[in-house]
Amino acid sequence: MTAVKKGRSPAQMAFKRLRRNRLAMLGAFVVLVVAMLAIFPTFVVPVHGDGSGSYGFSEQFRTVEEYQQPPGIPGHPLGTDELGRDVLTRIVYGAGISLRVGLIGTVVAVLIGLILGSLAGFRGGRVDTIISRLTDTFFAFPSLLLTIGILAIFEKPNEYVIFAALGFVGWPGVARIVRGQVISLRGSEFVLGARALGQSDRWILIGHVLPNCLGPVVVVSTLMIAGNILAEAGLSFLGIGLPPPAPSWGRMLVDSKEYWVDMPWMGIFPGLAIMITVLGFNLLGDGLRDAFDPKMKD
Amino acid sequence: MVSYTLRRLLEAVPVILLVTLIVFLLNAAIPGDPGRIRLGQRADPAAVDAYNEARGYNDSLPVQYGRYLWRLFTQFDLGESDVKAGKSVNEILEEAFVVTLRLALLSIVVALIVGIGAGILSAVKSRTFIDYASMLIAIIGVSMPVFWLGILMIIYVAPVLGLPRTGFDDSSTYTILRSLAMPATALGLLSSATIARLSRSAMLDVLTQDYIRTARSKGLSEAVVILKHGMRNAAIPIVTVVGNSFGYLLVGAVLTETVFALPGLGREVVEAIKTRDRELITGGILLMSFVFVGVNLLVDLSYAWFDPRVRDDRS
Amino acid sequence: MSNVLLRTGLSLSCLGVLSVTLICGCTARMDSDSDVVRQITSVSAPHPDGIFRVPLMTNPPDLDPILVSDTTSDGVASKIFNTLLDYDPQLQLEPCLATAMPEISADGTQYNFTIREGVRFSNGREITATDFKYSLQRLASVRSKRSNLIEPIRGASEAIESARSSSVDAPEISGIEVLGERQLQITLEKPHAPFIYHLAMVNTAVVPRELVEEHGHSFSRNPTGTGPFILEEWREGTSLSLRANPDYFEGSPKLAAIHYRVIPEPLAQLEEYKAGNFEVLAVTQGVYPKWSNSNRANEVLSWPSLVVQYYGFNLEKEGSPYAGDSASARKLREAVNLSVDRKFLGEVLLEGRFFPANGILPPGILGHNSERPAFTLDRERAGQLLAEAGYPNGEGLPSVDLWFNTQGDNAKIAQAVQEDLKKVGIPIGLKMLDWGAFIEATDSGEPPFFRLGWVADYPDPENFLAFLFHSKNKGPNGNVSFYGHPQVDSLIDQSYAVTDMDERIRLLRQAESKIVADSPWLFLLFGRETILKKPYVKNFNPTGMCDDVQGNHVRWHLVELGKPGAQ
Repeated sequence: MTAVKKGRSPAQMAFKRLRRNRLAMLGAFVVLVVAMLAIFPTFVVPVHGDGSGSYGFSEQFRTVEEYQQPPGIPGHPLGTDELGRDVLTRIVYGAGISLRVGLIGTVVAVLIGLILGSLAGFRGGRVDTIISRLTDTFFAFPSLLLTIGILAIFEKPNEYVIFAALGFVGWPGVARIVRGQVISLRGSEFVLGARALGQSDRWILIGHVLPNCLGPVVVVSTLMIAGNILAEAGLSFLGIGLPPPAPSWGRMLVDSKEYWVDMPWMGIFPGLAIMITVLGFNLLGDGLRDAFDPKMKD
Repeated sequence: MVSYTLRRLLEAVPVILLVTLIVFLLNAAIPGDPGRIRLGQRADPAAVDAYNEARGYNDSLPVQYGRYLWRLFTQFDLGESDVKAGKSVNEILEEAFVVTLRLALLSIVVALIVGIGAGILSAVKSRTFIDYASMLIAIIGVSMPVFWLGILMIIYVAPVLGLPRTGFDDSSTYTILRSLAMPATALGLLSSATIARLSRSAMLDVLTQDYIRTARSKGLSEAVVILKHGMRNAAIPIVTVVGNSFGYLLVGAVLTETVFALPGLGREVVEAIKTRDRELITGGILLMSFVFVGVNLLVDLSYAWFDPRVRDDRS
Repeated sequence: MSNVLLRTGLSLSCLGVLSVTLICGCTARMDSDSDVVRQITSVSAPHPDGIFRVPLMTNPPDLDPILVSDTTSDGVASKIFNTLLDYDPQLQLEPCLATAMPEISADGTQYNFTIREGVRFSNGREITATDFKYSLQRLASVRSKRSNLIEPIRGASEAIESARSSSVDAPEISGIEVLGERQLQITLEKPHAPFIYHLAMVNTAVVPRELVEEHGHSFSRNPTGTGPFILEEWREGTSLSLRANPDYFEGSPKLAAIHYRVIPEPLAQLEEYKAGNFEVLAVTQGVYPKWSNSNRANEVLSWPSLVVQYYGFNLEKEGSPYAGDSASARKLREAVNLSVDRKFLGEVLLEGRFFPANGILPPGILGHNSERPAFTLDRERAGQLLAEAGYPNGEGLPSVDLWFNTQGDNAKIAQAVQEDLKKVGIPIGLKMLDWGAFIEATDSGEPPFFRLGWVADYPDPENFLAFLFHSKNKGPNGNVSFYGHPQVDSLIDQSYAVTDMDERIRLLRQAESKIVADSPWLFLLFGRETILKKPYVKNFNPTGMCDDVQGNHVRWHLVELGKPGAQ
């Protein structure tokens, strides 16, 4: 961050670099579209029934004419699934679930990581040693297995348990980055200056140091959202994800996989939904990383 | 270097102890009575109690933990499976680890080939369609649910290429490679994107350097120039990424192994969690974590070996 | 460099192939609605070395007969071991290691067996009556998972009791007596008519004492018996091979070997079957209707199995509106039974592999009541009952959770039932667990409403009614609905002493009718087993006791691989 031009903060520079990155812009566009779907599902699919179902929509299925039909039959542009439900409706409502799993799991991880990482970096000494070893330890665990293990403790894995488990497993990455940032900023001039002005440690941390960690944390969070969406699908595949009838994309894949050979739309569309969403977050995350890291050539 | 090595080794000790403690606590928190699991749900409560007594499950947690550590560090004995009568955890994990290790190594090869390939390609054709396309393909590889990709490969790719759909045939090196071709590809794509980004960046760096222009002007073919200078530059970050992604490969292997019916470590541990096979859960997760700690240590040490600055400014 | 390019090119072309096949897949599906017989490509070539190849979903956990408690282990173990009795294709008992059916004393307590001469364990030693005494006594040991099978024998309860505090491998049971080298006498505490079936279950198979003692706990890893096949190699979680026992007492098997491979993903199993790598395949969703209506219809094999699928109400669950014996609870349970479209579940959702139940005992079980009509859908009557129970249109009816385990089609059925119940105003939630956690919860009476099935251990009504409904079996013993009615208890108890089959069946049918009237279950479906079998496989004749591809009680020494294409 040495090459700061006058009048531009690093964040503005990064944003400018990001805007030039076409793949990152594509990613941002995808993320935006998925977010719109999640917030306004009825823009795309008509409201079914009275909207009273547990996921905000009530599903109609099991009329024999509409059962396991290929894309293109009237009213079902992406076909119907193994129970005769509209695949498009489920994918659109599933966007909300995927984003929730991705976002909330990440928020939990970021919170834990921020607190522990800044504590370690700012305090240093024994606190740092303990937290660093704890971070190393959680880093060493095979994360998916640890998630499965944690979920096994709670017999009924509802949404919140899954969010918490993903966050609990994901924090070490954030903690490491924050610690590194805090250490590098600790000795910087503006922190020393703030100290000289008599500001308290807590205020220096919150007011000066943490905002400067934002860039790397945003990068790692964006990528973590992608990872969490994939993890939810993986958990569903192993039979540990959200219980039916949740229209989670992972569940849709797992519940229909016996049919894929003959009725590929049941596997292709939810799979593509996951792929495109995760791709969006990955592109955006990579773009952000390049933007915040001037050493990276673009 | 010696003191750095020693320091890193010393740092690994509390990590390993903490890993064992957390796994042990996790296991204790997972519901399920081991005696009942071994003897069946319909078993007599007294018989269940007798089993638990004999296996030491009735002792207090600290006693059990102490005994476990003692056995682990003095004899490297991970105990006996609760579900598979008469089978030791060491035996089970040994067999499974060999499979997972081969899978992980082969998928690193795939990741390197795809990642470096895409990276070089997009650097050389920087800011063209090929650049974006190859980077996009590399990132698509990380963006697919690995089991989805795996099943699609079994249905559509295996018949075309004549590869075995599932299973692990270790009768010869050739059959091993054939059985692992698809799973290693599915798994390798998980790390290829990062490698692609790094090699692209390193390569762009090199391509703008003076010595490349010099090398070109000497009449060397472009390929030789790029490979010799570019890859040497990218080597260290790539080694780091490969080392760090080893852990992720072990994790990704859980799903890959299930789809392709490979008798590996990840599948074994998932089964163990599902069947509540305590000793096997503990042993399996410990083994994976130890491998992860070990590989990271090696990566760090080799990094320090190549780049002496690292030894000093790490705090 | 060129290598790198080549690789990239390769993966691109793979994607191309993929999308082309996907499009073809779509068109193929549209064809299926016309009358065109579908063409399925499936390799049909027997293994040149006479190996019968079978896919398994899971590794069999245990092969020691006293530990076998799941269908996978049972299928493998029953090829390695033999029992005193076995079933003929009509599920009638017939002698196996006994020379004839036992002579039973007039009071029904004493069974006299003569052991077949010249039968040898695969280590070469000839079996004697002493081996049977030892093998049966092992069931009383603390490690045994099936001690209930010998409980009716005189002195068995005491032996089980004494074994708890010791590690005796085979505690002495006074009711099992060796009267001569080949004479075995079993005396029961009191008459127990279904006991004879226990002697055809693999758990009571004969094992060689010297090898059990040599291997200790790992006998389960090194099982040795008298059966048509011998364990050759077992790579747990991967594969298991059995080779033919050339000295098998019924004649050397026609197959050279049986190879099992563990593939947890059904879709992958199907692809392997199509590639000609398996002789048989357990059918999952999507396969049966397609293959039945194809050029490969001759590979589909289907038979009624002794299974009942049900959703049980926990009748002792506090706070559940369905629990208890009040008029309101009974009406609610009846309303639930009238609200589910079983025909749709069986014929459409499960593709004809199941059919609506009419009670507890499936066809094929002695005593199945073919006159009682199957449960049908009657939303009007259900609504009426709902109103009578105090919840018109379901208003005020609290939602209870239906618990089920992750396997197979459970999630699909549960979602369909949830939808059906919603249509009449009965709200339920769904709760999905792994089998281990699930069975533990149901045994302890936690779920108010749960999915279970019962597969017959033996084709006798007692196996269903006593385990699932006798009040003494509440909880882990099998009665997880916690049903209890003195009249049902006494009918079942009476039936044990009755040796006349018709009279027993009359009593047990009466018990069944009483239970059905109380609707402790949402009675769902009876089942069929459906498998694919290569046309060249001969003499694979499954019975109702067969668990899909396992071929339990199939005459395995007669199974043979013919020529490719042969029928």
